Amino acid sequence: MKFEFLEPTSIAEALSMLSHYRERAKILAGGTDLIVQMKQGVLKPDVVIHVGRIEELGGIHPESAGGLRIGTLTTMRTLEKTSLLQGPLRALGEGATQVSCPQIRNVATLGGNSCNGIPSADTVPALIALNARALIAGPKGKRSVPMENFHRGPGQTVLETDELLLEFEIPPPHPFTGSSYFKYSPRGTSELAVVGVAASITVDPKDGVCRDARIALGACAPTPLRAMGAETILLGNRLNDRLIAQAADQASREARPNPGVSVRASAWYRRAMVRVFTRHAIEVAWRRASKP
Amino acid sequence: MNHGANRSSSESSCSSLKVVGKSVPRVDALDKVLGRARFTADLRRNFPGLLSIRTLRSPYAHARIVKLDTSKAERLPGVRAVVTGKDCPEKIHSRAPRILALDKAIWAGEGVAAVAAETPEIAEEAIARIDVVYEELPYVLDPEEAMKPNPPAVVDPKLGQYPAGPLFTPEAPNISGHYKLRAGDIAKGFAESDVILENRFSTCRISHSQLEPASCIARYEPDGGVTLWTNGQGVYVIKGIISDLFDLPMAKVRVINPYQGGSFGSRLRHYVEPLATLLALRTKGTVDLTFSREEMYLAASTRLPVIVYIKTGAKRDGTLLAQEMKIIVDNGASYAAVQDGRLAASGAVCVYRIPNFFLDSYGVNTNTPWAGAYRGLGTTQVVWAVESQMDMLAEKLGMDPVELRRKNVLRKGEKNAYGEVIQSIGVMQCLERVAEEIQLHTPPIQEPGPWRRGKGVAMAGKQNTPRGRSEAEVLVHEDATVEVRYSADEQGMGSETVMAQIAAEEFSLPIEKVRIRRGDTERTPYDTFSASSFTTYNTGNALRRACRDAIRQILEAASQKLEAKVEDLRLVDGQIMVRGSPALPLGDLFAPFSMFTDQGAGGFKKGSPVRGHGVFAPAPAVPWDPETGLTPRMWNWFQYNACGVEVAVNVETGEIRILRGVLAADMGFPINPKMCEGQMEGGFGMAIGATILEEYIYRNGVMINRSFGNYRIPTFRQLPPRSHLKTFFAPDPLPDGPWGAKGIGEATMITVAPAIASAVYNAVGVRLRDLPLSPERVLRALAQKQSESPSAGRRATEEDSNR
Amino acid sequence: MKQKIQFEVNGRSEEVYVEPWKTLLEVLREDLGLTGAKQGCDDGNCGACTVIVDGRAIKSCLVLAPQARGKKILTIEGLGSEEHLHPLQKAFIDHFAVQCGYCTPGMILAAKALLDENPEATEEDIRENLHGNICRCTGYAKIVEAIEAARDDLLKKRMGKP
Repeated sequence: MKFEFLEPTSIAEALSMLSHYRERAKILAGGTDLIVQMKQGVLKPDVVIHVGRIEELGGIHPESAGGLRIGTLTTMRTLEKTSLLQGPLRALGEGATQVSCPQIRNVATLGGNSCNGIPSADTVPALIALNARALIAGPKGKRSVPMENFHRGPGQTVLETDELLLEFEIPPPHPFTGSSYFKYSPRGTSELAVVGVAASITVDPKDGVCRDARIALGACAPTPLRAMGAETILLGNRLNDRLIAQAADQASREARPNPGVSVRASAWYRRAMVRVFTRHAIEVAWRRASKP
Repeated sequence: MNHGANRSSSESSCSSLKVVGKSVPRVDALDKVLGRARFTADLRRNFPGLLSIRTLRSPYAHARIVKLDTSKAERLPGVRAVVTGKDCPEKIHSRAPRILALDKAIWAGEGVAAVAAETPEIAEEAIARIDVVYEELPYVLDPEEAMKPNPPAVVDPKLGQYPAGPLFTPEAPNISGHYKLRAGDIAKGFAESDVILENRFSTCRISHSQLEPASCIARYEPDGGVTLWTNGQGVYVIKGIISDLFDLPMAKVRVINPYQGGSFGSRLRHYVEPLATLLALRTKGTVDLTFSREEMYLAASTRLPVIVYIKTGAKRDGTLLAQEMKIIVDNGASYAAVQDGRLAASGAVCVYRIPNFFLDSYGVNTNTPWAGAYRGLGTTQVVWAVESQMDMLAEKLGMDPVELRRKNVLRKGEKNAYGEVIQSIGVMQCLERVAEEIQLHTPPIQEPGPWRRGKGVAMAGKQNTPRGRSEAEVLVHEDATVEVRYSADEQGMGSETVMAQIAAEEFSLPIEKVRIRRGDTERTPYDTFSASSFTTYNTGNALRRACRDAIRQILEAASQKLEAKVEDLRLVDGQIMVRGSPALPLGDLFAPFSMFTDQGAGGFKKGSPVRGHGVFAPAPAVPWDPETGLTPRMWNWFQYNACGVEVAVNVETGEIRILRGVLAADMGFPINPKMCEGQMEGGFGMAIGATILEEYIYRNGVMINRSFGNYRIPTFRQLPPRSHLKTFFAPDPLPDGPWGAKGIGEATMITVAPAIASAVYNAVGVRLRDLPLSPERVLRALAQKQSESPSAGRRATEEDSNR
Repeated sequence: MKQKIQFEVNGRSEEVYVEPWKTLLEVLREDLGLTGAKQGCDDGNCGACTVIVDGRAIKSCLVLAPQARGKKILTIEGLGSEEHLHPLQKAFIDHFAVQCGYCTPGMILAAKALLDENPEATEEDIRENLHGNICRCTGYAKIVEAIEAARDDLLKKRMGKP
């Protein structure tokens, strides 16, 4: 690999550089994805813009009523350890915890995990399930994109080449909400997910009826995707094992795994695992919703 | 970890041993924990102006090279040489692939051109500038297809023509060898059998994945020769290859081993030394060729994928009567050793008494990377079939699997199917120990949830090839410190420590007074390499002879000086002892320099060490009849092993978790017990990978999972907790091994797969015959079983529990 | 193209002049001669390159040299010496946790980072936290044993016991 290395010290400076270099540049945050791809020759930027020292891009900021704003540079380790992600927003903490190994989590950033654009990213299903939005800055100002629309295809996001992801906004969760994220892979977190499932479930304690359900699948389609059909099965109904199994079945039908030869798993197997882990994710989220 | 009760018998016979038989700390551990142990690539800074090498590799499994234009690469500033197949010597050596493809690439990953440049970045840029056009050709990956008379592709049309190469057979152009074993009367054997079982088993391609990639620094020397620093195995063998390939005078070729970061057989093929030498000669400089991890998957050797058809006949009481086997060994695009499957076949012959044996093994070429030596070499794959078959046979007969084996195991003094007399066979003690420890006959305790538990055992032996010639030298200084010189390998198994222990024992010295010098053709005497677990045996025996040679010289000199009989003298920690009492320090035998004394006369002189030399070579094999494969000596000794596991199978995902492992090994005599444990535990880990996780995945003839991220090697989490992994020794001394020692490196690889498969069957009632037992394979088998009998989805039946 | 990069390595201030695309691993090994950290793979999966940066274990093959500017780095060479081995180094020797030795420096540093953060780490914690470090030789059993012994040794020292 060979490139010019730039280190802006402010968001404005970063945006100015991006406007200048556009598709010739790549943004470096932690580097645990970018550097691998540069070594492999998959990405060959002329310019690397290291945003890792811009302080405004870091930090977790609690908002009113339990919402959060999380800066793009927040490391997986920080997300793993923070008490702010132990309650209804736990899916995101679990997603971060299951990224690879501690050495990677010490460096890898939440923003990088999304911007890298691979469908097996462990934090993206959780962000979708938690109804998060990505706040993006560009030459024309800021815009906000729901996470379920953030990814366009393998390696592709909605970011333009002159835009910078600033932070994620997670809205306040409804009361009586629980969430979870399950990553499945034959060696556990040591490798990329074969499937990842995040669920956020809101259950009315008075009648056990599911008031809100958001289920997101990773690693089983060209992008992370929301299993809306599965959600519909749960919404407005009292939860029980049979209903959850139906929702899991539906989720496995909504998955769109690559039918060809894959290094990680066949399409048949991925669908089977979507069924298994959607069930687990809903069950655990439901249990957590009932015990706030 | 604790050791079996059998250890006491070998201990008492060797109770006077001070160093051998003890768990002496490794002599290289200090350097390694301080980070100062140098591996090949660590030496780069020693070579100013070191050139980096990069290789252009064929992206196709089989392709004609239509156009190869390197001119743009040559013009890039900083590029010092570009070579293609035309620049390579025409000679071929059986231990090294063609350095670069000439007109055809015959596997995806074969090198087509290479560049030496001033920096790695320039070398990579030069590779990108090479203009290459391929014409894709049909390829064959399946050895059963490849071995047909009219295969989809002929991998290497010159297959019969290599000197000392494979045995070309007219049967089919991709068959590189055919071994037959015919013992007894197979038709009669099956006719008399009450029960006959037929199955097909297979193993897939896997990689050694040792942590240090192949690496060679080659320096052109002013006398026109070369010096190589390499982690390849066998410095003298490499010297011979390099000298031969490039017509370099042997006196001008020097090969040095720094520390080697694991091998498991990978480094017995030479992927880097020839190309590095070619570029060192071309540039008249110093070059570094270090494989990337991707290249280790594409262009280094792999384990042999093996297919086994096995038909077994037995009487109702469990007596084995007949076994018919067809073994197909996939050599890849290789023309080197192990080409007829005979080594693999040994796994079927060395443990059980089977009077009627009919076996054909074939070596077959396919358009895949070279396959060859890998811990357990071929035996592991055949034992996968044989022991799985035994497990199924036990079930069919309603017999205890341990009892079935006890009934048929060979005893010392008996002959196996080849006609070899068994010298030492501790395998049954191994199995009994593990069966007891795993409590095989007590069903596992099932817990609620998707995980079902099961137990299984297996036992096997791994042959040792009677090959090689080991020399060793000791230099005994006047202060009684000793230098040991030998050239076998130290790829982590601990040969330096074992050799230090042997010398310390022979000289009755504390081990700190022994210094090991290894692996430099300028300084250390001839050896082949470390393979077939024979370093302790071959080199250890040579070293003992070298020690005794030096001691004999010393005691003869002492007997003259002391006017005592040699038989009454011993050398103990630098003292000559007469009938047990110290009489003379060793140093007193060395005459000081004096202007007034004839320094050229005999006797020891100060500053000049006593040199002892020893040679050991195992007794040669006796050539076998090519029609029957019979011989009284094909192999030397066998290391035996048994494995017991308790597994949990997740019926939702198909995952297999190893909950408990019990390993027992017969290594003859443990020279360093803790190091033996380490070999067993390490082999267990490696075997778990080979059984449930690892495989080469191909798309369009190209291996695609060539990274530690998606080639699944076991991590800390795939091994059971320490308290659940036990190792036991059941040593059966080998008459001509050092203190009875055999070897242990390969033992634990060979029994794990069938033990796991047996445990999986015990847990969930599915029989799997193809490795790896990946979660998907297990899940599919469970789904199929479910569809065949919906009620079978529940946990293990009572029948299974009664085992 | 080359940049001046200053950082602290094993307690000493170091300055190197390198191209920005060099990884920290390459700089440590080739510019500073600290060859304890090793390259075992191409993409951050083996852990043999593990060093400690600002108290955290990281994989130095996935960090560009400029990212390390101003940081405090500990490599295996700075952990202990022949006269004063770190308890982990001593434990790895005593418990036969070393075979080929290629994974050893990275493994020891990853263990140190764990024990610094969690001095009472259990076997389960050790396996959970070190799975990013691959060993092909040992089957991990004696590495776990060594880390547990070092943990106990360090705890005793902490409590002022001999």
